[in-house]
Amino acid sequence: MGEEEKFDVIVVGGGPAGMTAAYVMAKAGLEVIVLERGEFCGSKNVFGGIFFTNVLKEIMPDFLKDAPVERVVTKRRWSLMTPGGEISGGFKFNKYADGSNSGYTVLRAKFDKWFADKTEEAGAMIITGAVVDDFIMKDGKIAGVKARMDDGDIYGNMVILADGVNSLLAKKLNMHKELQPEDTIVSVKEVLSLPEEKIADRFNLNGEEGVAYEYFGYSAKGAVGSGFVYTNKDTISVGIGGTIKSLTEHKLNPNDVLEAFKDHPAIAPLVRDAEQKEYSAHLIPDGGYNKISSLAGDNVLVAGDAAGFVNASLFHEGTNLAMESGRLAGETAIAAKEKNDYSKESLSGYVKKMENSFVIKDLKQFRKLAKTLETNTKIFDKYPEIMEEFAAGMFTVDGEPKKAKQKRLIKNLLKKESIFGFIKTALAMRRVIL
Amino acid sequence: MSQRFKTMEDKLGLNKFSAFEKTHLKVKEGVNAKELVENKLFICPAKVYELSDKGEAIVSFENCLECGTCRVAAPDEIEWDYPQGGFGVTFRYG
Repeated sequence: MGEEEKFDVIVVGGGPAGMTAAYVMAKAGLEVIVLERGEFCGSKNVFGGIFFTNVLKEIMPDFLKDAPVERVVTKRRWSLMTPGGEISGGFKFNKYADGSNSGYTVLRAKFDKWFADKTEEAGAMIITGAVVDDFIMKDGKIAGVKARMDDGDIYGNMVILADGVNSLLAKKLNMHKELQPEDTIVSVKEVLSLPEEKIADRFNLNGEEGVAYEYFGYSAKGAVGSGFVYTNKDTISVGIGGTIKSLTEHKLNPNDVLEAFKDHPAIAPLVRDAEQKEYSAHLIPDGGYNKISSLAGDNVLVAGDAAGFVNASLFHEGTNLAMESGRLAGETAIAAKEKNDYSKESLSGYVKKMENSFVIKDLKQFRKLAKTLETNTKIFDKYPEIMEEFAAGMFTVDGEPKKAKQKRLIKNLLKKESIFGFIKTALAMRRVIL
Repeated sequence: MSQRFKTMEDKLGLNKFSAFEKTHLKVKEGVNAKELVENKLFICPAKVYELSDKGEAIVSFENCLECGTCRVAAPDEIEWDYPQGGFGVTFRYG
């Protein structure tokens, strides 16, 4: 495309961040082009499984009419995995079946494609199979992008970078520093098919309801990581993740961790007889608040995973953060067009909007979590073992009087970890989680 | 009882790939391939990096899941790029 065909905004990346930006801008009448490197939007996208639709609901109130959601999450459970079992807690609220909690399991290949179709209907142009390698610079400023294809020079007044966790483009602009092994999670997942009635029975579900089971503690063979099992309509998503640093130190390949996870006595009955359909891998930016990229520059904004917007704490949120950042980037671009001013100063409205949004507020609250987990590795190996021994001992009925049993178990516990060790870790965890 | 795939070859066989003619992953010149694979790139979720009998790196880029783990694990030793648009892995579930 030549310079005469100039867009208001070029969006790089057809995931939730880029597509939300494009949707909002197209609705407002802007000339928008989305460049997606995959064969279709969603074809390169992977996540754990829960899509929180709080932002989608606001921009498209009737999305449930035809959005390809799998199940509405009414049951969540968090387990401390031990080498031989689990200690868990959670909730099941049937009232969430109406979608008020906004959590749905989805499969991204279907969902992102659906959202792309909606955005195209709204008036945006979407080009797939277009990988963007570089920017077109004019007088020292971004004037467009270079896609690796025939006629790949595309001009626009500004660019929204929503090119995902690896974002080579944001790094090219020095807006994002290189991802570090300690604050980058590699996650692998399998989608396995299972008949609907088996899913309902196995996970104790009514109709369209679904579960999200999250596993902490000893879920990654002692490395800093976690695991999950989510139910889709007639498939389940099972995966694990760990920081690249910790997996490297433990000499673990993520697939071997996943295989061990599936063999764990707490997981094996959930995946039994399920047929493997797909194996995927993806990175999760886990740097949190401290590693958020520069968000605005002259003629450019950064959104979604590219900016580091993932809340990988207990809440495991990402796509909704991506959508909120995409929406605010889109709104900022609309205002920039009205002013005909795409300078950094004009676009910095996005930074203010983000700081006032749940995205940055939540990330700020959990800013110390990753570091705390990284420096309290006992949570992933030593403690699960001690907890298992303690809890299993406590509930063993063997004729030993309770008082004597408790005394013995506590004595045993304190042999393995001092009371100060426990308190120190508990305080560190409390400070970063709540 | 359905069959359980454990080996990487079988697992990757579940996925849809369309390989481009040129690699998008390169081990930089002068890097000790044996050390690189044994100390760092064993982490690749698709086991794209393996050693030949002679200790040279074999890079099976056509199996790449495009996650980027290798570029974070070994930024100084490998050159990483996205594959040509429309090529590489296509997730049908995701």
